[in-house]
Amino acid sequence: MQGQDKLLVGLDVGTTKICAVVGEVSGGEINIIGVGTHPSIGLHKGVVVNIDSTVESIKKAVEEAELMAGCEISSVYAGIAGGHITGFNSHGIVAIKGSEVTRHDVDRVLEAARAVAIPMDREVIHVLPQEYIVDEQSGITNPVGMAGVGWKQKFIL
Amino acid sequence: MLESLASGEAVLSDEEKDLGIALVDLGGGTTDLAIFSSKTIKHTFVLALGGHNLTNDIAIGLRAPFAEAEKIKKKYGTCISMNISSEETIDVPGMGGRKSRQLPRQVLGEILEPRMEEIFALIKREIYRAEMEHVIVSGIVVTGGSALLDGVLEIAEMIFNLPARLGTPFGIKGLVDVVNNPMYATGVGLVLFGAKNQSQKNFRIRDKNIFNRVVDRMKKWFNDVL
Repeated sequence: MQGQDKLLVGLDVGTTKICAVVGEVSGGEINIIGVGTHPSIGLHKGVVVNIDSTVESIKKAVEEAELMAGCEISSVYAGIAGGHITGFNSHGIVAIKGSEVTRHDVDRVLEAARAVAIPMDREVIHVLPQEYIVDEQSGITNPVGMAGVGWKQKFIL
Repeated sequence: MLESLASGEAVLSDEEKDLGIALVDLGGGTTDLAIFSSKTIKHTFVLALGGHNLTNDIAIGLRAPFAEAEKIKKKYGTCISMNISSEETIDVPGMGGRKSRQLPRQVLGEILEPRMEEIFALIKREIYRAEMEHVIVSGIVVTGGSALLDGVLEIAEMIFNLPARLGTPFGIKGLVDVVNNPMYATGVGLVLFGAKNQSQKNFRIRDKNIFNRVVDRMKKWFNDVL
């Protein structure tokens, strides 16, 4: 993106159309500076059935957005959807070292929740913390700095 | 990045996400459901029915070519036949060189209404299956390209018995007129999500220089072992 790291591109690959949105971040505000849409060919019910025509459609949508925003797009945030995505809840439990919860403890509990048995053909896309439970006290969203001994965390994967 | 999560980022307010809300993204091929509560996502579901099925129904019901059916859906499409006067007619092009015909617009409502009801009924069943019916107190937000269809919100309110509103991206500047459309909810949401994540990354990197971070990492390893 020509050294402008403040530009962000969202790419939505849908079954009927593909749309690329270029946003510029400036001081906490987001300016939309370019939009490109192109009818999507090669997708059926949210799943790619013809990869070559999908690539062509994406290229065209991105080109349109590039023209509108006057920039070169090199990386995007892409969406994922389809009947093959599932979510499930998991728990991570760790003991706290010392008396206060630190950033490191949060990372460790995330790691623990990630370590669930999933089939070989699947992978974890998101770990979304739902709540942290410190010493039976539930509903905590940001636990850093709290005191406790053992804690667990609920997740959706 | 899960698409329903991105759409939620763009079209839902923080209060709605806190209180509990169901986001229904009516896409072309799929309908995505995402339930938010206490500011986090609670449940997601993807239904393999969408705007494409509506077009297909029109094509079969009116015996019209697929491309024309899509045009008719966008121009005259309505999910509630009651609201349409019986005198209103639409021009349906014939297939394979046949002559075009005049049909009452009410027919469109009769075709689209049951399909839309089916989609929402299946979503409702999933909400009950996941035992989330008491979570979504703020109601329903409908987004995605097919949400623009006339009467979708009325059907959603009827099926769910909850207030429904159209989800359009907000909290952005620039080409607002262009993207102020449920079609762009996911695209804008992905940009917003990217902006959020980027600022987090920057914060972490600026926190310390490389050497300190390496030392910190090694300290952590030792702590873990102890």
